[in-house]
Amino acid sequence: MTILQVENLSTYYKTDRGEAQAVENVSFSMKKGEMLGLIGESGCGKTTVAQSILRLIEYPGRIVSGKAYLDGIDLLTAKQDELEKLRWKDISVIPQSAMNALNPIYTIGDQIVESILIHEDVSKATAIKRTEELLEMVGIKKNRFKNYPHEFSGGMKQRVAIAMALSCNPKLIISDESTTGLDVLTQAQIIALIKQLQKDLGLSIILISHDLPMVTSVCDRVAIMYAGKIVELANTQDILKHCSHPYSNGLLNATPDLSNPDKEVVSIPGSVPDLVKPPTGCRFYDRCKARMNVCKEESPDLKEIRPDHFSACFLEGGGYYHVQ
Amino acid sequence: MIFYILKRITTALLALFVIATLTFVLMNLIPGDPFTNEKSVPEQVLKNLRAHYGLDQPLIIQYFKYMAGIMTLDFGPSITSDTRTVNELILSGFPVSAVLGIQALVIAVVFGMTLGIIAAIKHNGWLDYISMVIAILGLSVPSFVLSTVLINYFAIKLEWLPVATWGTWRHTVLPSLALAVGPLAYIARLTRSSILEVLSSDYVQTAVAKGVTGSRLIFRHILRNALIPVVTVLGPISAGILTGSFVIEQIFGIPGIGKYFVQSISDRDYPVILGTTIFYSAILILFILIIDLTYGFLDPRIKLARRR
Ligand SMILES: Nc1ncnc2c1ncn2[C@@H]1O[C@H](COP(=O)(O)OP(=O)(O)O)[C@@H](O)[C@H]1O
Ligand code: SF4
Ligand SMILES: [Mg+2]
Repeated sequence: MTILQVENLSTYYKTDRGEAQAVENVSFSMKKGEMLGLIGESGCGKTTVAQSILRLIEYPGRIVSGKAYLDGIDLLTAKQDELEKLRWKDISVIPQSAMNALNPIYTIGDQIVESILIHEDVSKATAIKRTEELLEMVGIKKNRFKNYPHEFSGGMKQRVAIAMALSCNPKLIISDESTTGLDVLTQAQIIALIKQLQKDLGLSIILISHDLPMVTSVCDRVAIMYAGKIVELANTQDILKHCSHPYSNGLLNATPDLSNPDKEVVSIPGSVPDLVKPPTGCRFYDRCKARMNVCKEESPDLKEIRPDHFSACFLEGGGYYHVQ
Repeated sequence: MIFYILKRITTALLALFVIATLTFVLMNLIPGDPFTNEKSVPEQVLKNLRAHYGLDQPLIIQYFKYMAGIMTLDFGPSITSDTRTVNELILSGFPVSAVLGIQALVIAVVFGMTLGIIAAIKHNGWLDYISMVIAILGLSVPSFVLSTVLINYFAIKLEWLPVATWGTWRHTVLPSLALAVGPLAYIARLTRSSILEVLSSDYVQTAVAKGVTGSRLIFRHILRNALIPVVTVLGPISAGILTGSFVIEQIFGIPGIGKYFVQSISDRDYPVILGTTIFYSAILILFILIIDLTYGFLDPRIKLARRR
């Protein structure tokens, strides 16, 4: 069953030089109970996609076009009061920097209780009880209910943020670089916790990250973004074994492989295009080793190159297979 | 909490002692004494005068005598107004300055915060620009210019309010306004920038994503956080306003204590210099203590009791 269907989403930001096409014509869908990884270099538009789905884009940004159906309701055209009811109840976030995502002057318990009471017609006692259960579920003792955010370590705050995201049993959770800023060990613990909860509770999660090994280790499917567009979308296994798009290949080659220390790490030469005046053709053209004449003129669409494996490239078969 | 307050009071007394000592030393380092300017007075009279005020004794003796006086809250006689003591000057002037000050403070806080909030909410709109122009004018126009304009317009031209002197409540309106404008502008700017900072913070975005809206969002998640820095500056601002303004009290002919801060120095009126300095410091320290206590309630990151 499809839980989220994003169609032709475009979001631009106004700048001094014109509008930056931060997200252009992005489409993907997600099944219930699935963990979808959204990956790409910093600045490629991952957060913008997430915030567009939540309709949290504010000036200078604007959602130019597109649809985002969550369980059949288009979030992008929903009325404001409808949207406010949907937020957190149906779609919640584990924010990018949990360090500052909690209000410093209220206890963590209060902040979780608040999100429950806004959306559900339950007594305060019930909300408190559920909050305590949630805290235990993410590995925080319930007697820390009355502690303030600054009394927790970064990893613990991240756990609080996860408990808060779970508080209304949402249909979809977006985790945007949740572990950035934590040490490697804590990152691994938090990701393991998110994965565990996803399996146990059957959650649908979009996991946004720039860390390819991390994403491929926990996600069912992976969408790779480059300069505001999705360039490849497939099951994790297909991405790893049959990676097709030249950019995805570059990304894999640029990632060190812990199980294969001899692997040569090659970064992609060149830099990302200017999003205010993006290339008319393929946005990866300047950096692509396999580019052709047609790539300069026309922009490739996301095509199904194998069952349930999509790539946006004019090469025969949508790219070339990653050479292991 | 009690322990913390007691500790703060002890530190405050120590600070006042140091301030008194420093002021005493600095004051005596300035060449001349209270009678240097009395040219027409015979040498013998001056000598008697100096002896009368104990100025002929060694400094160290003067210092100990003075400190002993302070212990019993006796700040000595005023040399310039030979019949009155410093205590009397402060006791008669302070209530006047304080009445003006409290009114000015209320105006500054209420309108300053309102202006700041409006400016922040209408960020980059014309209301924001108007508010900030008012704020910048308020900070940059000197109070004597402002007072003169106020008098000219509201007292002389429109004849709504009395020109000057001290008497009924109507007499307090213009000087209170004049006194309020500077701090008002300062509070407005601080409120605005503080709210803008909170608005762009991650936790406000979390609150919006959580579906928090309306007054709950504004008061609980934005204003309470944003006002913490504003409360911090209220300590020094209040102390400054309540102890009067030399310029404004002169222009409006108000018998407050503002003038003693300036006059006592040009007159070398040693006891008044010391008395007003210690008085001002005490008020300042008191207000900072009050603000720190309030702060503890506003911001859980500050735990007063634990900061022993
Ligand atoms: N508030 C903003 N104003 C202007 N440009 C923005 C703003 N937020 C993001 N952008 C631009 O949009 C692009 C995508 O940003 P973002 O979605 O944050 O990328 P990511 O999350 O992948 O790092 C970037 O080029 C960034 O410069
Ligand atoms: S479309 Fe052309 S330029 Fe773009 S990735 Fe494919 S081969 Fe390279
Ligand atoms: Mg991001």
